[in-house]
Amino acid sequence: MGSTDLEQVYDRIYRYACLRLRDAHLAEDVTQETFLRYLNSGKAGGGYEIRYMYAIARNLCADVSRRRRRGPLQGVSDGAGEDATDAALEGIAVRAALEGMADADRELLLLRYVNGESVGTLAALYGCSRFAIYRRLRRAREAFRRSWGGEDV
Amino acid sequence: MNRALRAQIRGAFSFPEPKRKRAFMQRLRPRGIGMAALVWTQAAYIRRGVWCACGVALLLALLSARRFPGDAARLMGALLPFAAGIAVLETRRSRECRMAELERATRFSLRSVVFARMAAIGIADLAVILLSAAALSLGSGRPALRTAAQIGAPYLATAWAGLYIERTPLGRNHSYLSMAVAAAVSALALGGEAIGLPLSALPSGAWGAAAGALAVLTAREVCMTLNMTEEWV
Repeated sequence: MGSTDLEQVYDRIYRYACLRLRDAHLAEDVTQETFLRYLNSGKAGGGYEIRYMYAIARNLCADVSRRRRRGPLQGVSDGAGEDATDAALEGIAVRAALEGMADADRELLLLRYVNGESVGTLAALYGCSRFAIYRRLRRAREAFRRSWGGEDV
Repeated sequence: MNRALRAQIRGAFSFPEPKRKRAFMQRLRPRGIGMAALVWTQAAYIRRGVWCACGVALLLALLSARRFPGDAARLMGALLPFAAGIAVLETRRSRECRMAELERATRFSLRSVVFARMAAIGIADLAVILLSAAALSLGSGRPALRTAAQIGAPYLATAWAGLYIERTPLGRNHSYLSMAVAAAVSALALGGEAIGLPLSALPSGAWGAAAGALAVLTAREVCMTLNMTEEWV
């Protein structure tokens, strides 16, 4: 695996950890710990198995969450200032809509539409069928639509 | 989900840039790789001609076991030295293709790389010898071990002599001497009877002893070749 692939995997795991932990510093700790555990697991084969790494990251995030109370995401501004453009305002609204969703739905949207994970990877990660993932994605989109305010997605 | 909204969601999910990514990437050590995995990966670099020679030898063994059951072992004994000659040529590829400098810059020593290639070819040729011996002994009714020794001894003789010559200045400067050795051993295996060498009539013990001795000599030559590999770059 080349250095570019390695960086992309790092970014994907980091974004996932950020979503779960709402703390960029902790998310980096979890990301690096995920890599180290994966490499030491003996399961590192021809490439970085993203599904296995997500599972490690999920468990690490769960451990960290149990030890602390979550707050707002550290290190991110809420949005634009007085001269906000329409796009920036819409971005704030989208963020607010995402905050109104259940954690599981939000996580699914991140993995699918931001990290670009395949349905097969998600099915392996969640331990369910691809059909179940399609249904959950549809439910997540509907939940987002309801939270967004009824716009057609 | 429409494209614009998908872009908005991506933007909403944007997180601070990771600050320690670069340092962590530089510290990540490359994963360990065992010898079996190294042999497997090096096998991919071996020329197709080598694998074709193995395949042709096996095919001819199977055909001759059917058509010439009495003479098949002698014919195979004359054919396999060329497979050995081709295998010996593979040991000098790093030098000939000027890959040695590059290979020395990798995680593995040049010795490990050459050893892995020799191991891959050796395993394939051993499989050909054993399978051929099984097929030939079925056709001729002779013991399989005797047949294996009878067809393996010329192979080992060529490998031993070829590797020895490759270590000499003459062999290093002339590419195809190992094939000349193969031709000589092949001629001897095929026409030994004509010059008064009753090779086919040798007892099984003699063939076994010859094959065993040649195997030891070949193994010694392999070790000496590996020891001198990096000196020739």
